[in-house]
Amino acid sequence: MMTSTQQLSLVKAMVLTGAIFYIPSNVVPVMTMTLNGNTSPLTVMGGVQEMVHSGLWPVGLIIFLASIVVPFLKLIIMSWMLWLHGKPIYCEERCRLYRIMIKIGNWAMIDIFLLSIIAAVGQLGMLASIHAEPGALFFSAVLLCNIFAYELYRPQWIWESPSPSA
Amino acid sequence: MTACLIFLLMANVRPLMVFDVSGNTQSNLMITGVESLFSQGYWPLALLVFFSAIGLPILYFAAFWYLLAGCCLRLSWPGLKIALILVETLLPWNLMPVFAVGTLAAVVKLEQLGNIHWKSGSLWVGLLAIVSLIVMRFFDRSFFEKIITNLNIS
Repeated sequence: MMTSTQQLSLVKAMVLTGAIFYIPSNVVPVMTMTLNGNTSPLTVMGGVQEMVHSGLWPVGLIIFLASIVVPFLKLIIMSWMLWLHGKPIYCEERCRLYRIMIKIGNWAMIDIFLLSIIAAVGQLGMLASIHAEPGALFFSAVLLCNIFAYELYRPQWIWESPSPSA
Repeated sequence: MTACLIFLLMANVRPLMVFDVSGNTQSNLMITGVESLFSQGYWPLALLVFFSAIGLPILYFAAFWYLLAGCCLRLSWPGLKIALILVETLLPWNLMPVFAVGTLAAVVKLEQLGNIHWKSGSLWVGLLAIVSLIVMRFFDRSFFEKIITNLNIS
């Protein structure tokens, strides 16, 4: 069983790792699409832009919010909560934000599910193929770091004052 | 909850869609995505998709079914408390609504490349997503705790 201090350190490590992986997850392509010999690597943002250009902006907006905004917000909010750890300020706001992030946070998995479905369907040899790229690994690492950081964070810490030894 | 387990079974055994490019067709199940990622060498991704879309929802709904059956029939089955802990722990991992929206987004994207024909698996995924959202909304830990405590006393 972990002590509170160890658990808090683990949350910090998760947030830091997530923040480091967030950059390559948005820069490195997450998939490559081939259609009739034309190959195009796509980043998360590239996929969103492609959808918007094709007139599918509602879907593009959902993916943008779920895959880019939500993971970023989760990292920022958890960093802010860790920064304010032990300080008796903004307790209600922190509690409310924590609950909201727990509820909406897992929607970031939408891009991973999308990738798994299109990677499965689009395997028609030369005609059409879709392959995962290393960016997807960074992206899923960010999601996992975020999920575990929020799972390990205890909401009661928001209301606790720090122990003298901590 | 029995309906959820049936929907989950059907969603896993029926194809989600058929993709058609110049007469070449391919249908896929939920597990096909996992197999495809695994064969491309992305096994961590394959494992993540397997656990979040198939493994953990099965465990979550099975534990919930066991808990509900025990509590509704007032039977002090062994491990009811463990089932309650499991249901509570796995609650954020029930990603069926996210998977359903992911399927919709995938169809929209694939329509740019070829023709998509919906299959019954998508319907089961949609139904499961709606029912699981309702189940998650009305889950009340204290209600089940009270019944389990009463069953243990009597």
